[in-house]
Amino acid sequence: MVKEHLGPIAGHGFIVTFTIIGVSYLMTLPIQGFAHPFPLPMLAVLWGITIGAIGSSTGDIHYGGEREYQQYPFGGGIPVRIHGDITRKAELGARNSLDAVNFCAKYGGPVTGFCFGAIVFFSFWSTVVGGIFGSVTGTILPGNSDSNTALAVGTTILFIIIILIIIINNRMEVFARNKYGPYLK
Amino acid sequence: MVVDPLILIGAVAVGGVLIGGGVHFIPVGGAPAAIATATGVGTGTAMLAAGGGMTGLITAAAATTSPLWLVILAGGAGSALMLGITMLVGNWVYIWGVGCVPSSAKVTHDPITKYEQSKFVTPGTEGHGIPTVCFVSGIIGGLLSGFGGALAYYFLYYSLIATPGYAIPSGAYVSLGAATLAGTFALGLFFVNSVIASYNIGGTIEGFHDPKFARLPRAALACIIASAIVGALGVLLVQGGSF
Repeated sequence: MVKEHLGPIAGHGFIVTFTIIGVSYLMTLPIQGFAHPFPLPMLAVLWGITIGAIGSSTGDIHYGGEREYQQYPFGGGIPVRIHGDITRKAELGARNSLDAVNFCAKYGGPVTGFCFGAIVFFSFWSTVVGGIFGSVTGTILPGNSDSNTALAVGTTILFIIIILIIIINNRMEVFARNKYGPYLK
Repeated sequence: MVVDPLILIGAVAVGGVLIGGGVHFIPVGGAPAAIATATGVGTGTAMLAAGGGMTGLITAAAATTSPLWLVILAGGAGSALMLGITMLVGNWVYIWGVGCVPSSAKVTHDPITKYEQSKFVTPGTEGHGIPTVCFVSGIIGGLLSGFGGALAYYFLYYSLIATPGYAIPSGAYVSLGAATLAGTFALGLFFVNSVIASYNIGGTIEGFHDPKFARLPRAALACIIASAIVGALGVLLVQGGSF
C-alpha cells in the first residue's frame, strides 16, 4: 500500500492541482476575455469543486460499469437480483483489478478529462468569443454598453451550445436504441 | 447602487429557493446509477448541483460589472453548460462503455420524445443512462440553480462595494475583495440549499416527471427559511449591518 499506491495517488493529485492552478492563473491575467474578478485561490477552489463533481459523476460510472461490461450482453444494464454474482466473481474470477484499471485508463479516464476540458473551454466562450463583439468586463475593463453587448452575445452562444448538446444527446439515445434494441429475456 | 438590507435578505432567500428548486430537476441516481441500475448521473445530488453552480458562479462573476439580467443569465448559462456536458459524457460511458440504452422505468413513454421506455429497461432495474426527458430536466435545473447563485452574488457584491473597506479602488472597475467575499458567500449558499434539497429527494430523482418531484413545495419552504437566515448573516458581513 505505502510503496505502490501512495506514489500514483500523490502524482495524480499533483497533476490535477498543478493544471487547475495553471488554468486559474491564466484566467486572472489582464487580457481581453480573461481578467476574471475572482483572485487565483478562489478560482482554483471553484474549478476544484467542479472537477470533483465531474470525476464523481462520470468516474463512478466507469468504475461501476467495468464489471458488467464483459460478462453480460450489450443492450442491457445489470439487474439488481444478480448483483451478488458480480461481487462474488470479481477479483477472484476471470476479471481482476488489472481489468478495472485497463477499462478506466483506456476509456473512462480520457472521457472524464475531456468532460472537464470541454466545460473549461466552452465556459470561456462567453467572454473570449463574445469579446469579438466588444470589450469584455473584468478587473481592467469597464462595464459599459460595449462590454454588455459582448457578454450578451457570449451568453447567447452558450445557450446555443446547450441546445446543441441536448440534440447530440438525443441522437446518441436513438443510436443506442437502434443498435442494442430492446432488452432480451 | 445602495442595496437595502431587506433587499439583500430577500435576494438571498429567492436565490436559495431557486437553487433548492433547481436541484430537484437534476437527474441524479447516486450509487445505483453508477452501476447502471437507476436512471440519472451516478453521483450525489449535492455534489452535482454544487459543481454546476460553481461553473455558473465563475461565468456570472465574469459579468460582474454588467446589469443584473446579464449576470443572472450568464450564471444560468454556465451552470447549465456544466451539467449538460457532464450528462453528455456520462451518457457516452453508459452507451459505449457499459453498453445500455438510456431509459427510465418511472414512465412508460418519454414525455418529450414519446419513445417507449419499458421494453428497454433491464428487468430488476429502475432504468439506466440519461434519456432525453432527464437531460432536458437537468438543463432546467442547472439554469435555475445558476440564476439563484448569480442573484445572491450580485446583491452581496453591490452591498459590499458601498462600504469603505470594499470600495472599488481608483483606476479599477471591480473590487477584488468584494467579488471574493460575495463569491464565497454564494458558494456557501449553494451547499446549504443543495444539501437541504438532497435530504428532501432522499437519494435518487429523475427530473420533473419523477413522482418524487411533488415533494418540491416542502423543500422550497425549508430553503426559504434557511436562506433567509443565511441572508441575515450576509447582512452582518457588510460591516456588521451598518449600511
